[in-house]
Amino acid sequence: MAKKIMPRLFLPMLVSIADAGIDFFIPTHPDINSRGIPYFGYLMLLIAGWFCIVGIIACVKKEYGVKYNAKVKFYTVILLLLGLVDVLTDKLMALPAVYFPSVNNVLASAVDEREMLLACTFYSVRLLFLGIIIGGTIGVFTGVLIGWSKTINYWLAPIARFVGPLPTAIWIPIALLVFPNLLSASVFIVALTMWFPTNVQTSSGIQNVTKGYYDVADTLGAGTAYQIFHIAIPAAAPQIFVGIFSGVTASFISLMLAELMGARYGIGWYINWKQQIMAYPNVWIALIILAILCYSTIQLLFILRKKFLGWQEGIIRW
Amino acid sequence: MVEKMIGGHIKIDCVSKKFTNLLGEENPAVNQVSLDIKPGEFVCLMGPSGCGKTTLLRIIAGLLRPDEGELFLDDKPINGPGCERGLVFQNPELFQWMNVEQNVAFGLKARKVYAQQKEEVQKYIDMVGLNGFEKALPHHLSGGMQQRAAFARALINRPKVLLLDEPFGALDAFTRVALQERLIDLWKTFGYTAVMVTHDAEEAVALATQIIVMSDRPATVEEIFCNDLAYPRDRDSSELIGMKKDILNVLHLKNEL
Repeated sequence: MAKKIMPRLFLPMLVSIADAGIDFFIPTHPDINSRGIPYFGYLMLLIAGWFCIVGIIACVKKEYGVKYNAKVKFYTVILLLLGLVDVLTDKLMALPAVYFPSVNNVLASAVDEREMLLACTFYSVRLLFLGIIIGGTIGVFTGVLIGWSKTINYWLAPIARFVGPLPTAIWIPIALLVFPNLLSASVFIVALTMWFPTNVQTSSGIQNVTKGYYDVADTLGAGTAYQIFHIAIPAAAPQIFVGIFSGVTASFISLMLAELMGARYGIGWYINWKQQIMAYPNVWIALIILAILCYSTIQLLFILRKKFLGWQEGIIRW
Repeated sequence: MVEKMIGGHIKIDCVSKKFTNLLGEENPAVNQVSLDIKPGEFVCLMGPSGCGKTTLLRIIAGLLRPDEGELFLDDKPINGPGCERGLVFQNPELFQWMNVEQNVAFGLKARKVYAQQKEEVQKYIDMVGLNGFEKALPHHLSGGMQQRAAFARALINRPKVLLLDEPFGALDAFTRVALQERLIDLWKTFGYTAVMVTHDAEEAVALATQIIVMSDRPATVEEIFCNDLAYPRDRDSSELIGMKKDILNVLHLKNEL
């Protein structure tokens, strides 16, 4: 194990410190209406601290070091670009300041409206996860039924195919009418978006399970319920996951749609409101929060996949 | 190691099966087959490819229902699949998401006796020579090893009848001979009745006590050869080579008609 310190591993830290230095020492463009607090510089110092710790761990743990080393280039370039954004907006005002506000102003709006943003994030997360969990559960359930039973397939599959591909926005007027309150109507919209791909992929996955598995299970004494839970669903799990994955990505869109149905709170609603009053720093910070939310959700899916579909490693690559 | 048991007695009485395509055209696969397979026999079903021997095997397994005729296992009618009739296919069909141990344990878990018979799993893995590979996933194993796991999975239920559908068809020559020897050892240890579909006459004469040669579609029983030679059999002995020739003669004669 080579214990020598690799300077390359500390490149992201050095770039972050440089970014902070630029923000602290180059004055803000005189035409920018700013309170003069270098939030971006502070943020970069925090990030530099983070990359310092990561760099030290990478030097000590060889296995992690190899993984981290492969990503150093990416982090470095991203941090350089962030510095460039700071220079272009805050220092030079090279872009129209109304739409591309100074990064310090964007961060200032995050600090000012932190409670509002927190509430909005909470509302969005609640709506998203309620919709995903309800829609996903029903999707897997109906998918298994349609995939397993020829009779249910005959009656339900055409209806599912007729209703499913409709753009979710079409349902908004009806959802508002049928559901007692806004939350349940919004959850319905997100859940419906989640349901269709999950249902289709699950039923197709179940129907494509190798017939031999059932023959073997039959001769080993497994009953129908046992075969559904221990053969059909695990064998179809990779395809079920594909359905859940596309369902979740589609749900982000309907989340924004659902929040425009006259909701109060929610990141989509916040972006719409701030855009109408031309508060672009707030729009940008809400966009960043939304991106982090979507990214984390996808990461969560990949963690779940690793846990439940680890056996696929070596068969399929994602 | 394991207690020897008395194999199942299979009686097949005038069984016929036809398949109907979408246009309603009937295609007979098995025609009026009657067989009496005594407990503990090792029977090979031979015949031209596509002659319906696999169909007959699946009927014995209970995976297909015959159109006419009846089948009995120890005088009880066969009405569907059951764990007293184990099955091993040409393709091992191991459950890809389960490791060797979980695959072998499947029968015990499905019959809800796993808690009482946990130790059996390791015993059967050792018996087929897979010790050390308990945690391996099927796609990390060679074809021969996968087939070994499939044998352990079928045998752990202690079936009275083991049905084999060309189990060595996809294996290389060395692995095939090694597994054939292992199959004979297991058969002698357990005492089950074995019914194997094969198109390899050499394999049939080396393994079977009875070789049933079937005609082309629809399958009917053409001729039955008995082979009482002791195991292990010398594959180059004149008796085996002679019997192989006789079998091939019956098969070729039928094909020319």
